[in-house]
This record gives sequence, C-alpha cells and structure tokens, in this order.
Amino acid sequence: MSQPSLIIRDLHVTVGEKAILKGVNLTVNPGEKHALMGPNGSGKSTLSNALMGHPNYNITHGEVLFQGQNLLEMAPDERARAGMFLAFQYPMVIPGVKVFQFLRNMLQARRGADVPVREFRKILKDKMQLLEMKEEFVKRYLNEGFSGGEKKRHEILQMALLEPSLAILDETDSGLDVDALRIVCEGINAVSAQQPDMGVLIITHYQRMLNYITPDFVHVLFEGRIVKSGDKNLALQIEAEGYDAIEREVLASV
Amino acid sequence: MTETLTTHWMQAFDATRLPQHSEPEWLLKLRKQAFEVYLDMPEPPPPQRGLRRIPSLKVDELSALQPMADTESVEALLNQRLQSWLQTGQAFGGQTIAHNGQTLQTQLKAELEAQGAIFCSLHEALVQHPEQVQKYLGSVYPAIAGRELALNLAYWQTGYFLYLPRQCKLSLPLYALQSLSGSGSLFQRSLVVLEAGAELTLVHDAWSAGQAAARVSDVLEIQLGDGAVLNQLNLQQWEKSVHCHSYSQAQLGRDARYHVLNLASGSLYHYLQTGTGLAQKGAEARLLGLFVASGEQHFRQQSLQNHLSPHTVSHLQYHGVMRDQAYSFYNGMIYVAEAAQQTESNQLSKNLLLSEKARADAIPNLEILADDVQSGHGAAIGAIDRDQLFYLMSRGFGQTEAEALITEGFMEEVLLQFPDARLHAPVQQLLAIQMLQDQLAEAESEG
Ligand SMILES: Nc1ncnc2c1ncn2[C@@H]1O[C@H](COP(=O)(O)OP(=O)(O)O)[C@@H](O)[C@H]1O
Ligand SMILES: [Mg+2]
Repeated sequence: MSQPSLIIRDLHVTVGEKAILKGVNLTVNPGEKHALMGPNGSGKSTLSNALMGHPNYNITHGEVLFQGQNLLEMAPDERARAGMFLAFQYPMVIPGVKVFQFLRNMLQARRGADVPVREFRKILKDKMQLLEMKEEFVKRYLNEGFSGGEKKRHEILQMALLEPSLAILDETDSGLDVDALRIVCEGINAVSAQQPDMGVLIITHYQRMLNYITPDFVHVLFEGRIVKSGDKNLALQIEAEGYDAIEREVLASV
Repeated sequence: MTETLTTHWMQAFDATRLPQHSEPEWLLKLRKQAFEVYLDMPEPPPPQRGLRRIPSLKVDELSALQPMADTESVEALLNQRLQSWLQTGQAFGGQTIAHNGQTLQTQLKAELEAQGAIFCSLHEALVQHPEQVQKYLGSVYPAIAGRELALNLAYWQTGYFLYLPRQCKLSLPLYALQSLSGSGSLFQRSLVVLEAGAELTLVHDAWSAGQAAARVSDVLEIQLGDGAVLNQLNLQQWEKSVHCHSYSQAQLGRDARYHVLNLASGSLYHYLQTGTGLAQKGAEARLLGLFVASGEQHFRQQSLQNHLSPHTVSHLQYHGVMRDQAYSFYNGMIYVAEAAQQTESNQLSKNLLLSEKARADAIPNLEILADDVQSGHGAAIGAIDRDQLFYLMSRGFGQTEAEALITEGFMEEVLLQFPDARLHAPVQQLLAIQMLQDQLAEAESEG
C-alpha cells in the first residue's frame, strides 16, 4: 500500500501564549474520509490552520508528515503546491482581485506551468457546472460581497480545480442552507469520485454534512485532543446525545 | 526688500520668457500683482516637531530651465510616451505636448475644432482667444488662494488651454503631456473650461524625458458649466529627483460631474492639492488617488471637498503603496456649509506599507454646519494583512506573488471607480511597470 497521506503525531500548538492543541494524533490514508467533530473552541480550526502553515500558530511539539515529507518545514505555498488543500471556515475578502484571474493563477501555480486561457475556461466551466455555479461568478472580486453559500461553493470550486491529494474542509457546511449544502456535498463527492486517492478531513460541528458524505472514520476533538474515534455511528451518537455526553464519558474515564 | 526681489524676478523672468511671447498689458499687471501677493504672504510656520515637511518653492532658489539641447531626441522620447498610450488601443482626439516650458505639438481633430473646441498652449490662446483667457485665468485659483499659487500666477511659463462649448461631447479623450529634463524651475498653469452640457475625458500627464532635477509648480484651474462632465486622469511620473507641487481645483456648475484620478509615482517630493467647489445644486465629485512611493520619496496630499449648496455629493478615496523609507501624509477637509442640506460626502485614505521603514499619516477633517447630511471619513494604515497573505499562499502563490496580487487589488479598488473604463487598461499597465521597477530597485538595494 502507498504511504499515508497525512500522519500527525503528538501535535501541540499554541496561539500567542495559549496552548490550544495538546497532543493530536491522526493518520489519514489515501482515499480515506475522516470526519473531525468537536464543540466550538475545541481547536478544529487551529488544527486546520496549523496544518496549512498559518504563521500565527506555533507548533511547540510533534510531527506532521504529508506523503512522507516533513510538512512543518514547508511554507504554506509549498504545502499547497505539493497537494494540500484547506477550505477555509472564513475565506478572506481580497478587494480588487478578480476571481477569474485568481483561479487561473492558482492553477498555474499548482501545475507549475502556464494554463492557456482557452484551456482554463474549459476546465473552469466543467468544475463550475459540478457546483451549479453561474458563469458571471468569476467576474466578481475575491469573496467580496459573497453570501455565506457563495463563499463555501467558491472554496470547493478551488478544491475541484486544484485536485489536491489531501483536502481539509473546515466547517464547509456552516452558513449553507439545505439546497446549498446538498450541492456542495455532491460537488465534494464528485471530486473525490474523480480522485479516489484524495484523503479528506471533514471538520464539522454537526453531522448533517455526513448524511451526504459518508466518513470512514469519525473523531471527536475536545479541548485540543482527540478523545474518541469510531465509525459513522459515532457522528449519529453525537447528533442524538450532544457533545455533553461524550464530555462526561471522557471526564469519567480520567 | 520688495524692490530687490521684484527686480530679481523681473530680470530673470524677462530674460528667459518674455522675448518669446509679447504678453498683453493686463497679464503683466496680473503677474506683478500676484508677485506682490506672494511677497506679502507670510512664510508657512516651521514644521511641528517630528513632522517632515515638503520644502516650499522659494523664489530665490528658482532658476530657468535650460532650453532643449537636442530637440529631435526629446521629441522622439515624448512620442514614445504618447505611443505607450496608443499601444494599449487608446486613441486621442487631440494632444498638446510641451517640454521644458516649450510647446512642441498641439493637435486637435478637425471635426472637434469645427465644433468649437479649443485645445492649445496657453500662450497661443492668449493670442487667439484673449478674452477667454482673461476671463478664466486666476478664476479658480486667484493669487490670494495661497503663497505658491500666487507665485505660479506670477511666474507661469507654460501650460494649455482647453475649452469645450455648450453640449460639446468629445468621444475620444484628450491628452496633455508636460515633460522636462535637466535642472531648473518649471511653472505651468493650465485652464480647462467646459461649458454647460459638455463632456470630456482628459489625461494630464507629467513625465520627464531624461534626467531631471527640477522644481515644478503645476496648477490646473477647471470650470465646469451646468451638467458638464469631466473625467480627468492626473498623472505625475517625474524623475525621482524632482520637487513637484501640483494644484488642481474644479468649480462645478449645477448637476456637473467631476471625476479625477490622481496617480503619482514620481518626484522626490510631491505636494498635491486637489479641490472641488460644489457651489451649485446637484453637483457631484469623485476624487480618487493612487500613490506609489519608494526609496526616499515623500508625498503629501491635501484635499478639499467644499459643499456650499444642497444636494451635492463628493466621494474621496486615496490609496497609497509605500515601500522602502517612503512617507505619505494625507490631510483632507470636508466642509459642509449651513445651506448645504441633504448632501453626501465621504473621505477614505488608506496606505499599504510594504516595508518596515515605510510610513504614512492621515488627518481627515470634517467641518459640517448643515444638520441633514450624510458624511463620513476613515483612514487605514498598515502592512499587508497576514490572513489575506495566508489565504493566497494556501492556494500556492509564493509570498512575493501573493503580496503583489494584494497590492494590485488594493490599487484596482480605486482605479475601477474611475468612470472612463477605456483608461483602466493603460493605467494598469503603467502601474504594473512601476511596481516592477520598484520591486527590482528594492531587491537591488537589499543586495
Ligand atoms: N488567532 C487566534 N488568536 C487567539 N485565539 C485563538 C486564535 N485562533 C484560535 N484561538 C482560540 O483557540 C481556541 C480554539 O479555537 P478554534 O481552533 O477556532 O476552535 P474551533 O474551530 O474548534 O471552534 C479558542 O479558544 C479560540 O479562542
Ligand atoms: Mg472553527
């Protein structure tokens, strides 16, 4: 079997003086879908930002291997070009930058080669159809005035274009209404069907996204540690009993 | 004191300029009076502690610009500049080109001339249209408007006169290039008059053909009749050793529209005053600015949005990109008179600091005497946002590329508000070249 997409060993992360991740362990093999669930403030976005290399997140201990390479030595853009992708919980607005140019330059950076405009238009059209997006969308400015749903679709559009080998989706379901949730999830499924080796880490607060995307594993993050792992039934249990039950269970076992 | 300075001025000025143009009596009188005003006005107080100041133009430091040594090569250079616009597909309806105070070319398409449009050097206008010039010269900026303005009115050597009769709508933009090389002082003054209902896009370009270490005073007086529309691109790309003081002010008639984009990347010192007088109902102004500075460049922008009548609108948005040790200081005023009810005005100054040593300050001011108005101001000064940078890098853009993209977007935000979209592409090109040059210079100085 090929080597794991991602290995996280005993990862400790601080923001400023504050310790947020306190020893996270996780392995994602190619093609596996992992769901990471946890209450607000448990450190889910911290994990995704740290994995993508945000400079505000300090790795104080631990190791992360991406396809066997030491991820922590790489700049965020190197991680991206190597095939890591993060769909942001809160995508940034960048005024004056047109979506079309942004997406084309992004794809060129990933491929390390020029993508002629005609070819790019064709690729873009296919991917946008996948996500039921209108063509006019790319004439707009990066996330400027986008609705919550448009932002998230745009994140997944980027994933579809970049064809990463590991995708981290940070609360892609938040801010989506029922229809948008279905379209986005179907889009994610379509991308992973085209790329059966893509590992996916779905970060979510609720289980509703997992109605569309069946995870192979479910993990619960609580106060900076993964305290419980299981299969998709764990997500259903959380849905039924809430995080409180898990918290009590965890606290009782210590 | 007055006597000796006046003598000095008269001698220097007469020696260099007057032989070429015999000026009417009223103008000589106007010049002399303006000079008296200059002498009577107190020198500005010394700068407050810690504040850097742009040196003012002083009469005893002025000297004549050398005449062109080699007219042909200068003309070739200027044509290059003109061609750089034409390459981007931008055709002009006419142009005036001047170098070191000498007008080399004036051209206006015959059909525009037939409509009664005038576009020529100010000196030529004095001969051909003396009443018009007499009516408008000093009408927006009289000598008493300021010390340096008075000096300009006394000393101006060059400039253009642009006049559109009623309802004359020019589909093609007009282009005015002022250029210089060598050292000395250049005083230019131009008049733009649009009668009621006239419409125009004007490119006012300042660019040095070759090495230049000059003092420049550039004054633009603009009169817009009722319902007239002027889109003006105000470029300042002098060599980075020039001291430049630019003033432009528009008086707007009823329902007139004035849109100006100030784009400055040249000069060591650049003082820029932009004003708009909204004394008639329904007048609207949009003042835009893009300031790109590097090295030791020091820019100062002053603005006035003068609301004197009801239902007037003004928006100001200035963005600066500061590299190296560059410094930018913005000081703006929104004035809303008691009578100017139901007006809308705002003012936004932002600076992106691309190096640790780059600095910017902003002082927006509001003075609002009317009670039923919408008004706002804001300022933002800072380095590139780390989260924006991270977002782009997480998509595979290298740091330099990501920074460039954010910076371009920052400028694009202002540029796209300029209503004549035909000028967007050429300005993007100018900016791209400027950014590249500054980046290279920065890389070089870092070794
Ligand atoms: N950039 C930051 N600055 C300060 N505190 C932060 C930052 N990012 C996260 N935190 C803190 O870290 C904790 C975990 O946050 P986060 O990772 O966003 O949680 P989640 O995504 O699970 O809701 C919270 O207490 C939050 O306040
Ligand atoms: Mg989060």
